[in-house]
Amino acid sequence: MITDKDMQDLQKLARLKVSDEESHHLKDELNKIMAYFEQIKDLDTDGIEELARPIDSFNIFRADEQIITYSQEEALKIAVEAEDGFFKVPRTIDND
Amino acid sequence: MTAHEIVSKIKSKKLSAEELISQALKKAKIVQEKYNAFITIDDKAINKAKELDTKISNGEELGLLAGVPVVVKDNICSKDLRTTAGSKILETFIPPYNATVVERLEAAGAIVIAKANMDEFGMGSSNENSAYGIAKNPWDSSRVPGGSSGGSAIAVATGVVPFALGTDTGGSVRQPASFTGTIGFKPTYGQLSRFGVVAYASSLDQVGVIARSSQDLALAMEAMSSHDKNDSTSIKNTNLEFLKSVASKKDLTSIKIGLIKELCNEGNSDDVLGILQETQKQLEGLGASVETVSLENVRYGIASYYLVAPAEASSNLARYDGMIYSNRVGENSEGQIDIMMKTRGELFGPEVRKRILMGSYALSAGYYDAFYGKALKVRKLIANDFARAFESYDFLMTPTTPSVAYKIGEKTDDPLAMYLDDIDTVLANLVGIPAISLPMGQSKDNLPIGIQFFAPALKDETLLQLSNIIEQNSTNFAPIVKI
Repeated sequence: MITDKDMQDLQKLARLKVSDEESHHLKDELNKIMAYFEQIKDLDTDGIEELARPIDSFNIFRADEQIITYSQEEALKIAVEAEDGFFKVPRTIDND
Repeated sequence: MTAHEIVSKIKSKKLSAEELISQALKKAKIVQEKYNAFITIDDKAINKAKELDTKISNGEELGLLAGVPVVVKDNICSKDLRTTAGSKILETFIPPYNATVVERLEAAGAIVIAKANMDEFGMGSSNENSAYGIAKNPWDSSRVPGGSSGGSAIAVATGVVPFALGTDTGGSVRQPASFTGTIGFKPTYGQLSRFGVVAYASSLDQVGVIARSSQDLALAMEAMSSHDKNDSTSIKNTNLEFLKSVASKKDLTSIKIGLIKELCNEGNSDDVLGILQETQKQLEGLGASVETVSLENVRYGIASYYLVAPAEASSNLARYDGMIYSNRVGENSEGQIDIMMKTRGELFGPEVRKRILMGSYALSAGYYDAFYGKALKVRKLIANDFARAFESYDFLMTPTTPSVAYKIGEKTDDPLAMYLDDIDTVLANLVGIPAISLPMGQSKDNLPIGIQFFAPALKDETLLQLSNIIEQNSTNFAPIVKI
């Protein structure tokens, strides 16, 4: 069972804050949904491999040559905040 | 008009691209007013039409889709045209590049006139989870159009465009096609490039096409499908020739079709079961043999899918944190983590918040093996079932959805009810195979009903052939809904 405390931990893990009311409501919904998922627990999957993707993945290599995609100006157009040709983000490390 | 007819009229100069695109934009605005099918309508499309007209008068060579207006789901990037994925978090996002599929459509002469409404990030089956308002079904505006590619389906059903792009992670092209009486095609995983498509669940996501004609569907696939070096999951050298093959067969002689027993039972409405039986008769009349086949693990499809998809989503959507791009909520002085938590909490909608937390839970320490890992093993069991069945059958069939389009608001209170409706469609995504929903009839209340066909991986062409044969032998197949 997912508890209110689990919900608080999950929000930190997912960097996603919801209101206490929503958290409580979501806890009930998730418990209902997870209860439905319990059905696969008893299924015999011994020796069955995990299918993470439907086709084999492979690395793509190319020659290490410069290609022109966008100018710095074009790329920074999508920035939330930009300054002097850089993306600007809130302070990550505190001074003290 | 079909895309084929449009191209022929443009090439023979019976119609100018400007005239055609201006009509399409006008109709899009009427459809928008009535059904909220679009998030952005692009009036600049008219300039592209004028450019095409200049090309025509200069006698330049024209592409496969010259002058065809198209609608693209709003989670597929379009250069200089806002792409929101149905979310507030991307409300101001204007991509600096085209998704490969858009690039290829435009290279072939198609003109994007609008970006379609959708459930936020593709998470939903009713278009009720859009941050830009609920879209409505043109067959009955008190009902949902289906989702998540609801807007794309409306645009095609109402005849704004001959075909539209959607994306299909668990049925998001096929289910709205079923609810709007159109054809919905989800290709083999990797058949169409995902470069520039907003990722939801990468091992399941696939671009798909909604159309009213099988030959138009072939035209769209022909223009878009070839290897893309920008997508590491793009299939190499499939050499499918959609246009050449789509009308190459006249009937279904010696074709074997398996009706999946577990999904063709009382879990469906009477209307749906009735159309399923009629379809079976029609297929037999065209020379196919239809038998019931058991795929015992498909009943676990929903559990597997709704563990895998949110798990992948929780990882894919980590990029929307208000730092580099997207929108930011809060003052920089609050510090990075608090801003991230606030931004994501406020700008993601309720269903997206739920799925991210659900996915984080399924992947978290102590639960990984019991949930996510187990779901991947179940996925393998389902893939094995399909592989076994395809040893004996060319196609497998089920209803596309257990019932017709439901009333707006009818399923929003029960979190499981809407998920369970995806039971037929999620299988193709879990296994990676192509599937198509064909409009095979209507309910007693005159609402469209779709029947779904699966083919083995890379046999995409055979589904289009099947669709074309049925279309040629039907009356009023995928009609334009009068508005």
